Amino acid sequence: MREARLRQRDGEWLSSAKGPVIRRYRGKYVAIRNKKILAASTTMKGLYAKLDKLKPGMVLITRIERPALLVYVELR
Amino acid sequence: MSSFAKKWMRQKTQTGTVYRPVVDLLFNEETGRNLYSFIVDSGADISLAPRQLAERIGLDWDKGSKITLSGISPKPECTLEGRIHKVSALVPDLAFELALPVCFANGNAPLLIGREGFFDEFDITLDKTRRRTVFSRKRARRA
Repeated sequence: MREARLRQRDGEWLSSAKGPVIRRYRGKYVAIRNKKILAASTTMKGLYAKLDKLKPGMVLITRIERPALLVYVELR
Repeated sequence: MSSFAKKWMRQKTQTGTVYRPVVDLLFNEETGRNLYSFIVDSGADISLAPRQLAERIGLDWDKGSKITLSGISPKPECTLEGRIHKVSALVPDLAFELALPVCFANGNAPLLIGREGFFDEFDITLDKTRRRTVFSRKRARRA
């Protein structure tokens, strides 16, 4: 659980990161550990492939959205 | 502790900076455990994630309930196939294991937490002024 708390701090770091740091990752899934973006990909499959090579231990995974407003998805 | 607060995630958009409510969930994967940051979407009936996460946590994507996802565009080519599975995840802030249905989309879906399963367990206060969300466990509070 301690490790998970450390990764949560990585999320806080991401939120406070400056524009130029984030800009190149827009629209990508990213894996963060110790305030560093270790891997990024436009697909989750690609991100997992990179993580499987790196074997970094627990990471925080999220998607940095494109600079657009989010709208709904309908399920049928 | 039966509640916790989580700061909103800052993101840039075409209209300026927005702050989005997020929550972190820990998943057991075949190669270890990873933490995922989901956007809390009170308007979504069900949670959403990409298909690869289902496979990563050992689910057979095809065995889930079949569903089609579409957005604003009515065009058939703008739809995605999805499967709904019930999954377990840990809320690290409370060391609480949660079971909730998630729609795993066959495409690059955002990570969203919808109401079903999650809002049954928590009373959720979206505090836009303070840019934070307060999650209070329902059952723990009643006990």
